[in-house]
Amino acid sequence: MLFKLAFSSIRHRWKDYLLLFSGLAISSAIFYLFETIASNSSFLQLNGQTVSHMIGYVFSFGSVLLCLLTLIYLNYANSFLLSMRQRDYGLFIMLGTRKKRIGRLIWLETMLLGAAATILGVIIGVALSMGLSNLVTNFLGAAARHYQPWWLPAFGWTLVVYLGLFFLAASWNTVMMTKKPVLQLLKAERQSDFRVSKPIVLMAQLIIGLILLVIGYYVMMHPLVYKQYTILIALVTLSGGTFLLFKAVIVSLLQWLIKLPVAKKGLNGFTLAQLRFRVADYTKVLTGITMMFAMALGAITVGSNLHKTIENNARVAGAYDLRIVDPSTKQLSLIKQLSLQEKREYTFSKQGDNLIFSTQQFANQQLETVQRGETVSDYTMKKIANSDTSLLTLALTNYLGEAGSTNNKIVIQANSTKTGSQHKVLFIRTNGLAANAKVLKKIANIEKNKYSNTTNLWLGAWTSYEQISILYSGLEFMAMLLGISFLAMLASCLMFKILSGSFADIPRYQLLRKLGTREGKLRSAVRREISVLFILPAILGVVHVLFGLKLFSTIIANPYQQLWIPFGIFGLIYFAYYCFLSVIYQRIVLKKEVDK
Amino acid sequence: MNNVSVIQAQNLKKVYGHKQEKKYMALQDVSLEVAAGDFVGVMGASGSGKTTLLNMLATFDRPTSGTVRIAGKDVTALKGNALADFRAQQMGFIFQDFNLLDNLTIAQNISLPLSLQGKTSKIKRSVREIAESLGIKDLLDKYPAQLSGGQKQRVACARALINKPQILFGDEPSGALDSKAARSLLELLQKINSEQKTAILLVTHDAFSASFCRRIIFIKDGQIGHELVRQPGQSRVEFYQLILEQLGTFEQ
Ligand SMILES: Nc1ncnc2c1ncn2[C@@H]1O[C@H](COP(=O)(O)OP(=O)(O)OP(=O)(O)O)[C@@H](O)[C@H]1O
Ligand SMILES: [Mg+2]
Repeated sequence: MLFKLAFSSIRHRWKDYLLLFSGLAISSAIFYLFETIASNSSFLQLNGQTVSHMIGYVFSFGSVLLCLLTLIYLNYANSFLLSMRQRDYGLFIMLGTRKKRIGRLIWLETMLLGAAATILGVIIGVALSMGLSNLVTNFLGAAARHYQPWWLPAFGWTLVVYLGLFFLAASWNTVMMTKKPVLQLLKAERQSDFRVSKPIVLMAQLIIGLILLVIGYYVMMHPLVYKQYTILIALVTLSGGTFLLFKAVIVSLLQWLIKLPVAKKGLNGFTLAQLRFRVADYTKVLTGITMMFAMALGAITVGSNLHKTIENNARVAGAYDLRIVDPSTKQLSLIKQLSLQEKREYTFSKQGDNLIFSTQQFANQQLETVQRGETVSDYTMKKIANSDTSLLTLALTNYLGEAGSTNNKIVIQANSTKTGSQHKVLFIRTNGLAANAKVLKKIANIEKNKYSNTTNLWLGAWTSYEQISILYSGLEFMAMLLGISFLAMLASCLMFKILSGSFADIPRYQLLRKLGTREGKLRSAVRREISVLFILPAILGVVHVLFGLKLFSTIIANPYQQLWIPFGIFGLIYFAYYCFLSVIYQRIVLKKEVDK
Repeated sequence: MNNVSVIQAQNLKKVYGHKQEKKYMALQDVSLEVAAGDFVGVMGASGSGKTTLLNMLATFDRPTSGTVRIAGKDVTALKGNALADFRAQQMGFIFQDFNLLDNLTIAQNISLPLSLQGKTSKIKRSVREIAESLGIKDLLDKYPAQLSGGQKQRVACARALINKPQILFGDEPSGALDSKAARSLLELLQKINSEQKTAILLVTHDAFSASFCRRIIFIKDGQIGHELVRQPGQSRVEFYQLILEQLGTFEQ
């Protein structure tokens, strides 16, 4: 009987359940999609050769972030579920159902919903990643061979994380529902917070909040100092700071606004009261939304900036694009097509594995090397003095140390020697790797053909350029995926929040209509109320991102380059979503009775 | 005073039920007039169509056929903003379940109709005046959840009266109150009616409440069955007896 009752109330609100269910399914689909990349070790290894520590870092960072967001997201989804159910449960308890049975019912309901959504999510995830595999191939190039839409470890991870979290949620719901007094369950929507915060408390919240934000920003601007703790510290301090700041600012703003004469005009007083009424609830949500907003925008901005930085990062790897040993005539004619910036030519004699250079030629033509700074964009070309034999040896070893299957040893001595075979080496630097890519590739291919084994062969910045291109397109793909995931979660969190408030709002707006409020005023009141949920997180979120981008200056030359493009695109999506939600909300709370 | 009508309803008919559903005729051919400054009660058994009639007159619902004129204006033809403004300016409502906004203070609740019309300058004085006359001036800074049922009802009354409407509608306004609170509310309405000349239309099923009216309309199965008018010089108790007698014959 109890189950029948529970089921009938689910049927009654099937639209809300559908919303909740599809939100959960999409969230687990995204999680699965991400894990197909993150848990695919052969893909990671393929990309990871050169910069393995970095890509490993970024991927585990992404995984942690996604888990964290999933946690926050499920928390909202669960409170939406609770808000839908607690009246029913309160009624059951009032009618004399044993708490133990109620507890079991709640537990079962949450678990069933969660498990069904997770399984459906994985199915959607597989379908999505199949559809995406074209895109993946484009993005990941060579690595795509290792990309598989159906990936067992990803499936395992998704199940473990989601079912685990649902287990926690189910237990939490059971405890919550069976411990709360019945009256509280029945009147859940009418609870309110009448307390007025003291100015001292508000001031303290404001100051602590600001301090936390400053700590977070400071840490993000010095990622090299705090290394792997950067993200953790930033997440904690920024969340806390955002929360306190919202709390202090919103409460004092509302208290101030309510006293103004404008507050008495039209529906202003009503809207302010709505906000004040929900402020405790809102600060939490706004914090969550701000963090998601920042991460979504951050991920998309970083992703869109990655390809712009490839050239710069490859340049940091070597002062010269290519080194050419004993250039062939074909290579020489190809070099003529390049727009060269620098060209060096040296001779050496090869005795066994030893490559012997004379010091003298480095006095006439000084070899250059890259002097690195704190960030990737912060580098200079430095001429090596011919007396600095150890630096010269090091630089030359970079280019000539690897020669296919053998390792060469660089020797620099005062006089040139005529023993051994005589060779010539050419160092060239073009005015742009991307601009000269076609020709450089041809020259490099001829050069590679001179060796039997080319796995570890490094010919100069060009080799790095090719490697980084692959790596960064992988990263770009991941950043975009993360960005979209965060955006999707942000969207459904907003949806849950706004829709769970709508049930309490229907009678309020109905009454306002009966009292003779114009339709247009009602609509603008709805729009204004919702816009608060959108605007406040956007402002603080943008500030977070502006500071957070600094975090990526170790891998991106200029993270702030052409910011308006990702920001603009993101803003458009965000605005469109605002319009969408506000129309949905108006549909719900302003249902027509008269004027049919 | 009694020669102008605030409400003129003609041949009102209301059929419930959508196209596919079973039809139910809740009102069949009801016509009535309420004169300016009159105090009219509508009585009848549960399900007889009282609320339905009130909803038609108060513009909350549209009749299937027939017209309603309020203060000379055909409100069945009003739409959108015109309808909203008309409600805000000409009518006041008191509902059985009080319908206060739980997130506004009592003062804000009372002043809502004035805010809606943009008469912000008058708010403070008007709220104080009305709150004083209804004995709720100590409650102004509280929230509805902190009030008793009778107090809430008086707040609803204050809100309905603040814009000095032509006509006040009430659907079982004393339904949720004990007899003492109900009596004080009804005496209040009577006072308003006689002092401010506000016409009142009250739906009720209990004879005690009805005995405060000047004229009572009995409804049965969606039709007006009978009318009682309190004669000048007739005391409330006498009128009450009359109503009880009428109910006795009417219900059979
Ligand atoms: N929205 C509706 N749809 C269908 N039928 C309705 C609707 N509202 C009322 N009715 C029917 O119309 C009839 C009259 O209802 P109404 O609410 O007017 O009665 P009432 O006289 O106010 O009764 P009570 O004293 O119990 O409040 C009832 O039989 C009711 O079932
Ligand atoms: Mg009724």
